[in-house]
Amino acid sequence: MNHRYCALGLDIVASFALPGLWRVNGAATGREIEIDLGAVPLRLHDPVCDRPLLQIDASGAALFRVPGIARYYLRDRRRITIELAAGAAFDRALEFLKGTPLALLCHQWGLTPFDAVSVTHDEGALLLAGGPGRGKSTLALALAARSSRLMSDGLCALEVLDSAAPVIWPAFPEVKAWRDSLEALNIAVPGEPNAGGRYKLPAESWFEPEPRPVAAVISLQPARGGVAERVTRRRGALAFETLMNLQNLPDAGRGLSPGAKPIEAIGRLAAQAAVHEVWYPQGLDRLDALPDWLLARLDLGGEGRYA
Amino acid sequence: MTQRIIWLASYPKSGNTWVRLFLAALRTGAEVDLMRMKGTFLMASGRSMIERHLDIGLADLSWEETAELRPLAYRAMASGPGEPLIMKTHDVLGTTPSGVALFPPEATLGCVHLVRDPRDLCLSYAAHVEISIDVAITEISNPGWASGNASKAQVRELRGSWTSHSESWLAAPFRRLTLRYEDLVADPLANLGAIARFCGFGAAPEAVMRSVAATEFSRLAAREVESGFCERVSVNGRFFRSGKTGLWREVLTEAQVARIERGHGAVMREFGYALVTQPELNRSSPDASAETH
Repeated sequence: MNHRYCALGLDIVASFALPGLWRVNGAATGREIEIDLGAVPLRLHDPVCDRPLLQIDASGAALFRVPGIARYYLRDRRRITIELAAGAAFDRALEFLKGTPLALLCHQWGLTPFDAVSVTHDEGALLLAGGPGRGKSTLALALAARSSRLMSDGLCALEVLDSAAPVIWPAFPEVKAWRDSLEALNIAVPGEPNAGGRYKLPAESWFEPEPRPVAAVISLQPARGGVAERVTRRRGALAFETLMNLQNLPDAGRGLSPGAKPIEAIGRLAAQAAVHEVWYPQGLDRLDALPDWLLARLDLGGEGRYA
Repeated sequence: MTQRIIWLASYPKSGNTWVRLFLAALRTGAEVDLMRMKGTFLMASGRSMIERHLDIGLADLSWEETAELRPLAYRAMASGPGEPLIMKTHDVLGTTPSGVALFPPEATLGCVHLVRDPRDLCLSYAAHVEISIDVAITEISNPGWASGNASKAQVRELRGSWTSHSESWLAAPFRRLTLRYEDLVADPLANLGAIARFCGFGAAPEAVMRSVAATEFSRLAAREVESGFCERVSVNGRFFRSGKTGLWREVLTEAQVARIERGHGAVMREFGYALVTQPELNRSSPDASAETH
């Protein structure tokens, strides 16, 4: 029996279950990817891209390794073979499948993978961007209490359809958060943390599986050390720069995408979506007030105080 | 692979930020925006930077698994031609859990090693992270001291004790310039200029003077009051606090001084820090700008 899923604008099929992916009954996107288990080459012959953990050859085949966990072999834009490292658990291999390998396939299918948490807002999607530890997942959980639905926690995919607004494809119905964030949000801490120290929360009940046009992009900056909290709108080249920095695998993905799709997609998004830089005080003690403060200012794009 | 990386290595609160700001001002000819700290070089523990060079998210890896990958990232950064890459670190110069050099010598052009009197360092560190001086003394005496998850933007740093950290960098198998923070304060023009030359900045004396002036302590402190400083941890304190040396004499108790000197006295003497609890062990100051090739 085939198990079918949809993530990042890709239809994913496997003969075994892939927990943590969104199940579908049939093809949703027309971009079918088959996942299987098997032997994977140690190296590619004559790679054109040879990075510490990733090789890509002229045909677009890719070999990605996570030492001690698994190796992933991608070819023909349609197949990923996974070989587990000796003694490695399948669920860890699955976690890393949901990162670089699928992001590479996004590039190959002309989608632009973004490092961003995304949630629904009215009829669109809010992208929460920023480096590690900026509070993106925490903010997504806080917005969930105000009826936002989760679209992605870490990786999503941008697609530009001919004359339509750029859309974001959702990823996986789960959020990973640190213990202190969960406690600040009065969310029960589930079980044990993963190897990296975060806790995984299933999010099927509040997951949005359909693509949404981008309503706004919010680049989160920690306003610590006396730096004033504020919201500013980034336009033109600054908006473009902010969005370019969201790309997942910008170096390895270059040349994989047919045509100049990432640049065009990001340019279209910069022109159509509101891009904001938000400096807010780090600290979980005023987390309850942050979503309302933020949403009230998104349409204004001016200065604001976080009281 | 090219030897491109210059490690700007120090224990916390030993002048690393000041040197970064000076070098950034020298390179750009402009003051650095303290709210963003753009252009102030790379952090060896910067999660985003490591992830980008390894094409992998690190958040689901243990700190041991992440540590094993760090040398791969540094080698990748050093590959190819280009100007030296200056990279800040608070890590002890050591190995990954499997025994591989954390900072690959084959990718390393050299290191600037900054050291500070641990008696003053404890005061500064305690204020920076808002802990008691006694707790600070305990932490800098712990050979296994590592950064936690408090800063999720960085991977875990293994700092070690002040003694083990200092000894590790003194034994670096590559070109090294060791400077005392106290000497930077006493003669910034000479010592920051020496750092600039070591890092290959062919700057004219006038440019060095301008950059020294732009990063003069009172100027940085005033700018922090005006706009904040994004690398400050404490909510209400200041990162650029006093800029003075020897404050420990006014603040530390006799017991605290004795505790620090008992734990670190041997290496303190190597750097010419006179001990007060065992003065008979003091000896003449070493050459402050110790450089090895």
